[in-house]
Amino acid sequence: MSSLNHNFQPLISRLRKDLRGVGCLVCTGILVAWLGNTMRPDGLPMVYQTPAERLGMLIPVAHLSAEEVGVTEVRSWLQRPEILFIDARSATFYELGHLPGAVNLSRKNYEQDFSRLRERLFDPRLELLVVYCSGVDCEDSHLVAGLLRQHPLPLMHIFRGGWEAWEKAGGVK
Amino acid sequence: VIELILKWLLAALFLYAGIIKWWEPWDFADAVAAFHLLPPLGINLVAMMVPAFEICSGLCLVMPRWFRAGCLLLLLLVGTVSVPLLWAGLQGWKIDCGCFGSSWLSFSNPWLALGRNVVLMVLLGWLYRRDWRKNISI
Repeated sequence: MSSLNHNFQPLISRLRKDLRGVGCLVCTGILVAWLGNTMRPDGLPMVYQTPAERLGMLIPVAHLSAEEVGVTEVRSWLQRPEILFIDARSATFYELGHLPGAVNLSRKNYEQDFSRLRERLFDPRLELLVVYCSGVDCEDSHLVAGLLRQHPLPLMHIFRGGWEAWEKAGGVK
Repeated sequence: VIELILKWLLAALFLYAGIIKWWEPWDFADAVAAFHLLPPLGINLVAMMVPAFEICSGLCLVMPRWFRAGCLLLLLLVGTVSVPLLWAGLQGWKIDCGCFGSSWLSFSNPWLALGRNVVLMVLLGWLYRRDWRKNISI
């Protein structure tokens, strides 16, 4: 038994050494995380807030509702210049694929995107804005629509199924 | 040579994963929240800690003295992240762990993300075992 212990001794001490190393790494990680988060201006607070809560101060709750439309309506509206499609997803996803003619006004980059698109959004020929995001479950389209409704813009609809429904339906037919 | 290349590749991969999450902490916090497994206090803690652990462990992979500790922590980290992915897969949810931001390595199908994690764990385990044996034989 003692010889067995003797044989395993180097292994146990090696494993102990590795685990001590892990402990050191965890402590360093905690320190790096804490320092990194406190030093940056957009650091995370201790308690998580949903995107809606983060924008909550800006959007009156009543402004969050909008009429929802499906793929059939969206498809028939694509060629109409008086209708503007707004992609509320982040720029990366927009670049990977979007509805024909849609502009990117993401929830995440709202301020900059809004300034960039100001001219298009306030075009007097526009009659309808259709906002969409990734799918049925995403809330970015509602949040962006809520933010846009604070401006004197045309009527606004939400494309409920979003990009997922569009892809599933086969895109333009 | 393969071992060395793999070490550097994995180090680069985990550094990349840590940096993009650290760069967009809110996005990662939203990805963690989507699993509905943690309370609001835990979500931001995870979003703060995971990128830091990945960066520190990623660096350790290219430091011979710290290699095995880095490997073990990454195995633990990837293994832990795989649990909510398995849960999401069983629930039929289409969400990603946000582990690689919105890059080509992120999958909205949890089973694919889980597969990616299994590959990473196998590679880390193999490297750990090789380093362990090499040092024992010395």
